[in-house]
Amino acid sequence: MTFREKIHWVAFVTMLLAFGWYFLAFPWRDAASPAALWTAGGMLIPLTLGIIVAMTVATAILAIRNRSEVHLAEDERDRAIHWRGTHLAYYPMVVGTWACIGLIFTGAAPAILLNLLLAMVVVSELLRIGAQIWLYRQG
Amino acid sequence: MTYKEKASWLMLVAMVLAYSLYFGLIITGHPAGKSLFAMLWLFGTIAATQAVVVIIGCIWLAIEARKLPRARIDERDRAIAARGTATSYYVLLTAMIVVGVVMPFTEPAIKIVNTALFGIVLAELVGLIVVVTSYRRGWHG
Repeated sequence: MTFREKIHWVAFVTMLLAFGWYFLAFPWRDAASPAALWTAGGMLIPLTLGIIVAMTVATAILAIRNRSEVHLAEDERDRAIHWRGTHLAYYPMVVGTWACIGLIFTGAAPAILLNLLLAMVVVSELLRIGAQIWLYRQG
Repeated sequence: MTYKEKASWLMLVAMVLAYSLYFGLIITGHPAGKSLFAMLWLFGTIAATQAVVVIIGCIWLAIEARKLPRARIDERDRAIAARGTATSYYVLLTAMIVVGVVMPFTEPAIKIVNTALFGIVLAELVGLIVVVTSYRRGWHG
């Protein structure tokens, strides 16, 4: 497994665990109340910091263990995998954005809107990173 | 110029004209900047007109392209399209983080809707600019 592929795995697992916790722990019963927006904000700040710390530490450990690969420039295949994965994730994000715009017209509470837009971003990112891992695995 | 390149130019010009008008009206105080119904009406009219112009233009370009020796979409066209959407993705991602995670705390619904629309339009425009410049510069993927 190449260094780039390992970095993708770290990003994928970190996002899955962090946002998996967030969406499970969020108080959905009170999602329509104004206080839920601040609850979401209060959960997202430590979550974001946690993701940054976890990814920095994991990347540093991987870089130390794979010193020979760290400075290798992105080659033709890496670029093709990057574009294909990102291309694939773009369309769910556009559809999700339109769905959230539609939701605003129904008078959805701000916390619900925030969580749906966040879910859309997370799903698109997982799809992008997951597609890139799959393309690396496929060779 | 290939069919894909001409179609990209057509979409780019149509988007710039249509959404300059839409966001120009919003900035100058049109009711679409304050009411969801007015926004829906103005955006719907402009987006539908733009879509009709692009569809008619693409049909005409496709008919014209049949006379050219290389009318089919090839590997390079696909690579350029993927490069364009990959760039659009990051623009839209940034816009959606601002719209979804920052704006619900401070802004009213109508402003969130118009900013989300601006994010989509900006992402599409940046993607199309990447596509047309890739063709112009002879990018091969």
